[in-house]
Amino acid sequence: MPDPDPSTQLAPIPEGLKNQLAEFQGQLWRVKIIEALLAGFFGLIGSFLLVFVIDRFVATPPLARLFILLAGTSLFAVFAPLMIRRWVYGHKKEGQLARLIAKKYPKLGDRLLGVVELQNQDESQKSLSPELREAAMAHVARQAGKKDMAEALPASHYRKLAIGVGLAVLAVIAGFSIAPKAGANALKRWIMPLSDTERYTFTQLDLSNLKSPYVVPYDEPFVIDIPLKKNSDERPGSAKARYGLQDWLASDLSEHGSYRFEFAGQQAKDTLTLRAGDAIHRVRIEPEIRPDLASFEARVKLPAYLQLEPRLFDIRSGSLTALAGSKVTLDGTFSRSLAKAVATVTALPAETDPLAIPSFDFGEENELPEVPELPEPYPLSLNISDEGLQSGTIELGDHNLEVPLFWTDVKGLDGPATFQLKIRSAKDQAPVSYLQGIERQVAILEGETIQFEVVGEDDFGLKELGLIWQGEFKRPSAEDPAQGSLVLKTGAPDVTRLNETAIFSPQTHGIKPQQLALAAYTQDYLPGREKVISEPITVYILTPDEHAQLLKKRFDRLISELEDAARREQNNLDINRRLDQQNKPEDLQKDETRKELAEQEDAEDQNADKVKELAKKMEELFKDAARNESIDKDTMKKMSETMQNLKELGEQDLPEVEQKLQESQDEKSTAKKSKNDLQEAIEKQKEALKKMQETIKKANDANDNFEASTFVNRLKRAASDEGNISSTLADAMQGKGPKNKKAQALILGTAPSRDDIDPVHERLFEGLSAQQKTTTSDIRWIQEDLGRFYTRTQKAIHQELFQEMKDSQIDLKLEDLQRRIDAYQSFLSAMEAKKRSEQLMAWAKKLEGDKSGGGGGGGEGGGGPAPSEKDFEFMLKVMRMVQKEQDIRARTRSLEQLMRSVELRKAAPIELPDLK
Amino acid sequence: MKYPILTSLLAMGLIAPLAAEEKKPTQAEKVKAMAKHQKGAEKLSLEQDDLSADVQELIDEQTNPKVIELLAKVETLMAETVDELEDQNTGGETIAIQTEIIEKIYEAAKEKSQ
Repeated sequence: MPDPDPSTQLAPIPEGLKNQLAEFQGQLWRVKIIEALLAGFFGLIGSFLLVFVIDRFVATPPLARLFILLAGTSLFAVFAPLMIRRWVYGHKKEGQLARLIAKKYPKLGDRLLGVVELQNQDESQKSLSPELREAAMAHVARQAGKKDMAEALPASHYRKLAIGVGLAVLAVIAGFSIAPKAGANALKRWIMPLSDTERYTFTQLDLSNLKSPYVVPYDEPFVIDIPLKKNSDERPGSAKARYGLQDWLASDLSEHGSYRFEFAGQQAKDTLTLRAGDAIHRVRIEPEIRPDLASFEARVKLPAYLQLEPRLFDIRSGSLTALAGSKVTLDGTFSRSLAKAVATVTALPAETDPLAIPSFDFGEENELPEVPELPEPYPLSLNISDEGLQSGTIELGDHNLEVPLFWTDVKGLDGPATFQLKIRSAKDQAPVSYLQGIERQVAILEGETIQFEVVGEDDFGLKELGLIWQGEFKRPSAEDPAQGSLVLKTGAPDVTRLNETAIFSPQTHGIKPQQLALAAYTQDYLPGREKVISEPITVYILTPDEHAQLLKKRFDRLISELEDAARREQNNLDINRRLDQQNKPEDLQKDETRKELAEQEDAEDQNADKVKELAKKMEELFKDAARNESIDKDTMKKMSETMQNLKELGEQDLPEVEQKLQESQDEKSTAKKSKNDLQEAIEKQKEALKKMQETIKKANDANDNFEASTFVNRLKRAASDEGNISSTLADAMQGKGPKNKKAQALILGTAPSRDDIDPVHERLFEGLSAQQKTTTSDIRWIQEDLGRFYTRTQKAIHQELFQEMKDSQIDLKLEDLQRRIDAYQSFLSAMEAKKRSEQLMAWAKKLEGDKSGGGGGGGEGGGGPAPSEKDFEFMLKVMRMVQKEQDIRARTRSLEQLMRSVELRKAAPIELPDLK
Repeated sequence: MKYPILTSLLAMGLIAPLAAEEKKPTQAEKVKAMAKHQKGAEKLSLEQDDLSADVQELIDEQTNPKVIELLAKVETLMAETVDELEDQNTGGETIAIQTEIIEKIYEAAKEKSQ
């Protein structure tokens, strides 16, 4: 075997040294790896403990927990590997170990480093001797062998670290042992720092009802009640809370295991801090206005019979009145969207009149009134949407209802208060109708027309408006009393008021003179409700003579009032004259006298007003008299003059006196002027009084004529009454009345007995007897009045007639007639009544003939009436003509209304029978 | 008693038949109403004719030509009204003529008083 080339031969490190270095390396690695691992564990355990400890005081924020976790794990994950890399991988070679040893033993380290270099020396380039190299390496090995390499190891902390880790582990064990829930919670929060795991506290508050943000009512005190959880480890005796930076409020733990905090009203948003034991919570509080009603409407669908569209009512007031039978739905909008709403429909008992006095009669027969059973309350279905709230249908019966409505908005706030809706069930009221523009009692001639307003009103709708009348004869008549109705206007379901001017003419409806009850009627749409009739008025339809008598009574009253006015004027004049006589001119200017003059002026003013009023009454009377053709023109003329005088007195004469009396009080006037004014007033007053007296005389003359003319009328009426008795009996004998042959035979034969006569005929005879009694009495009065009238007027015709009546013994004959009627002697009574009627009519004609022919007295020379009389006659004729034409026009209107009434009823085309 | 006449109406049985009355009038009622109208119009036409005769009498008594002229016009209008009423025309046209009659009579009276 050839010798190796000395130049390429390597010199290995002596075995001993090599082993020594290997041992050193092993120790180094072991220590540093242990240190790295302990440091890593310490970091992990330490960071967990940090979270655990902090959480016991405050909730460690997620970011802080993340940082702690990262720091802890970095010791294990970053620092340990780096340490291993540095000490394990950084000290694998002998040179690296020699340098580390050199830090402790610099000389030895250098020598070791030299050995490592010698070991790798190239002989071809270096002219060193291998023997020397070996000797050097052996030398170093010997020196190294004398040293304890372990001392060259870097400073080691693994014991401290081990103690630290041990302590940390003990702390962890202790934590988990003492508070396992807290440990587990801290572990979870440490491992998952960004999770929302709540911090565990020993005091566990139930905040399920306190979600953040928590909304409270704006500016209203509010209460927060926080219970402890059942599994709370600690139960502190008190807790505290505060709103923002306001003062802390304390609350003791209640029996129910909760803390109650009452806060004042808040306006600004802020944080509520709660502290109970180790539990600290912060909740965002937002004060908000409570959700209120923006609009609340009821849609009322009325009962079908009304045929009306549904109606909307604003019910924010909490009250609704609707017709029984209606269907009601509620529709509300709110200031905020709702989350919940609840309503209950409750029927209320009928309202009782608090003023009504209860009756306490507990007799056997009287039982307590039965109280109707109320329907059970039921929840009202409510539909909540973004638009608001819509209810289901409420069927409104006869009971009033109460619907309390409660709501909560999406923020959990309740409404300001429970909304109490009361629905009053109303009944469909009966319509009303009335007549207006007419007196309660009216007297008219048969040919006259009355005009008035007919009004009908209802709460929902009127079907029809009309007139209705029922007549009644005040004396027996074979005719039927008038009875009828007239449609004036048709309505519609939505027409609540109907009015129409009615023009009512008795002649148009064929109504003879009688007493008429005239009323309006109307009807609404309620099925089964009858027509509602108004309070009627009484229309006296008069014959001309009845009318004349009525006018006479009015005239009597008017004259009486005029006489009173004249007496007052006389008194006024006396006082004025006394003032003139007893006062010198200068005395008139004294306050006392002026006061008296002022009183006189007032008195004159009042009398002038009264006279004006009388003039108006006279005008009315004159107009009414002009309608009655039975009143002669002389009477009318005197009435006209009376009317004219009254007008002049009221408008001119008496005001002039008043004016002068006023001037006499003028403070600016001289004493003499005042005196002159008073005297002028007296003179004018004398003239006015004279005129008044003349007027009274004229009125009395006219009244006398009136009376005279009414003798004619009264006789005519008596004749008419007798004629009526005769014709009524004739009708009865001709078979008008009961269709009974026996009854007919009885009345035609000799006087039947009371037991036999038919009840209808009996009633007829009784009525006629009463009528005959009245007529007999009237005739006696006419006879007596004629005698007195003659005594006053000394007119021959009245004396003549009075004598004729007396001689004829008309009164006794009429009494006989009454006895015959009482004895049911139909034929004889009819004949006698006819005879008396003719006699009375003849006397009336005689008196009338005298009036019409003897107006100018006998012996007039053919000159005819004076021009003024002719003019008056013309005017009277014209006036009557106008009134007649007005009557014709009014009756034409009345006929037209009748025609329209037929058309209003939508009658089918009908063919009229030929009435001619 | 508050409404004696109303009570008497009830007693007379006026209200009951009305209440029981059907909503639509019977044929007999229609005929009755139409006949009443016809008869009333005829009666009015006669009265209008009578009044026309009175006007003629008044004309005969007059000397003032203006008054005569006015009254003659009244008479003509009245004749016109009579025709209308005979035709059972009671509407606005007839009433207008009647109103004119009243105006003309007043005019004549005014003329006479001057």
